[in-house]
Amino acid sequence: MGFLTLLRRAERVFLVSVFLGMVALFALNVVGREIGGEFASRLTWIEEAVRLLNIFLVFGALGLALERGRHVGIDTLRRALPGRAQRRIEKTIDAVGLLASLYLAWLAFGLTQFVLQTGQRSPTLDVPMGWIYAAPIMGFSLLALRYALSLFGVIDRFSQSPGMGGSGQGAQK
Amino acid sequence: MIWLIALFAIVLLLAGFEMFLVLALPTLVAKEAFYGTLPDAVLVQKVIGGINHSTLLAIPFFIFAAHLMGAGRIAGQLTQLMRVFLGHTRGGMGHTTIGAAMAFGSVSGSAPATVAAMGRIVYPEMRKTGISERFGLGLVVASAETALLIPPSITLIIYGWITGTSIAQLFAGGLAVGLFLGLAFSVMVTIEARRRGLKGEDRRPLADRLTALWEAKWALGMPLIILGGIYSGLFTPTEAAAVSVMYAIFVEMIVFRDLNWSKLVEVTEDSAVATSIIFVLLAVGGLLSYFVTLAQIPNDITAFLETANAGPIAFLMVVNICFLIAGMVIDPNSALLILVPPLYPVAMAYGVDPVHFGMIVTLNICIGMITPPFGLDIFVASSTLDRPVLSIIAGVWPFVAVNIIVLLIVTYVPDISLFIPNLIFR
Repeated sequence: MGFLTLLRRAERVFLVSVFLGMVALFALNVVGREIGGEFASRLTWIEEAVRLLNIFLVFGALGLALERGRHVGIDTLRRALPGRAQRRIEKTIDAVGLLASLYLAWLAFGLTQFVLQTGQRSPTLDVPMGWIYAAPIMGFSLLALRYALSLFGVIDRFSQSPGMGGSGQGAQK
Repeated sequence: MIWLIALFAIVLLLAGFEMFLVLALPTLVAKEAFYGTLPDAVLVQKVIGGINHSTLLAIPFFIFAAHLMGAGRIAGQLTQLMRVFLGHTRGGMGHTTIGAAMAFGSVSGSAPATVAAMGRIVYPEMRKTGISERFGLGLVVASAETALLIPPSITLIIYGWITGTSIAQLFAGGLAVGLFLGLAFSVMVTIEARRRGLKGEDRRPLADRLTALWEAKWALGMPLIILGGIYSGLFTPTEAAAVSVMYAIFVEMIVFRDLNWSKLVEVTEDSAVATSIIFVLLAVGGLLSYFVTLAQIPNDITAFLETANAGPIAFLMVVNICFLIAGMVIDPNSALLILVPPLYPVAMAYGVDPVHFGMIVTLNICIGMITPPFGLDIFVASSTLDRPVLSIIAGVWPFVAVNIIVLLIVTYVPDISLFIPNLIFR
């Protein structure tokens, strides 16, 4: 099994378990509140946990979204250009995207280290706050990897997005 | 310098950079240029701050529920339901299209998804009953917009999050404005049907209507949970969203048996990707609005409008023009994230109601989505219905015009937006 297949499978397992976990936890929270009393007060950590999971969900899917050409962008003009000019702009986008996501991953890495050193902990879950910033490190690294793969022609992410955002836009909003 | 940065953003936009880069790169440049002493850590904090809030959790849940419910038999059931109730009217299939789009919008809240799901079902039927290609295409695209207004609406949740307005009140306002927009399109259908001498179908007996109602019961459970749950005070909007996911999984896996485990994994992953696409915009939007506030742009706008001696009416006109142009060029969420932070404080200074302002903004975005050349729904309709973009553009113009009239009425008659929220909340 190639590295990319393995990575995609890992991303899928991660995203599906995080998302279903979010739904289950939040629904449990609603049930808990209806029952009320001590049971409900034991569930107060859920809201914060789901918010954290959501952040990991969002950043965890960044790379896949790029690979599938699902990020929103206006490509109508670019698509109207002759083939060569189009390729050139696409390579520029890949290169700029690669640099930008590496820069953001690096910033997030710095912040993670800093916050971990301060020893700040989250209000109800009592986990070190620095771990929140591990999500953007992961997300922007996955994104950088996809930009690099596209830049070097390993994946083709441009041929599959008709109009703005492709089916991602189509499916929601 | 500020103009150079704006120019930079426009170049990125036109070259087709991903929208989050179009928002993020100029902001990073602006940070280096104007606020070089600000620690870089702030940037990441604002990115996370832009998405770390429980109000926003409603978005992934509503997206997930819509992905689960949106496909398959629900679109057909809702169309059938509307047809037995509206088919006998003049131009009945046209009214059915509008009603079905609104009903589907109460499950999905996405205009492009509504075009994709309903278009294929209603368009051929409209043609069979004698509605012209041009009018039919325009109607499919335009009526789908009501999904953005009728709850659940991701656009309204994002607006509520940026401005701190109650989502429940926005949903109530959106329901009223969505119905009003649907009504305006209905009037167009009636006029068109009269012009072409179209008749309705035979009136259906009560038994047929009850059957259709019974068959659509699972689809109708969704708005019941969302609206009923929120307005009875049982759920917050975010809780209603999570419950609607559980409901959708139950309906699709156990009642319809359309969804098995491997399909669920696929839909879940797809919803995660769709969530990520919106949230990465919210994240860089958090960054952008931080600098908008730092640069005191709202104050500058207010000062400018004061020296120009503009009243609230002129200001709302400016808002309409800004959003219309933005909606024509960029996607709705980015338009919100770019324009609401600088304009909302000005609106408040003029005493505009937050819910009313939200309706104006959302209606503008609706119009943008069906306006050539970039209106997203035009492209979705073109690919779902397999019709050239130019035919759809030809059909859509009268609807854009009526939409602008509706926008002007909603802008200058606040009661349309505020009637239901006032009834329930104030």
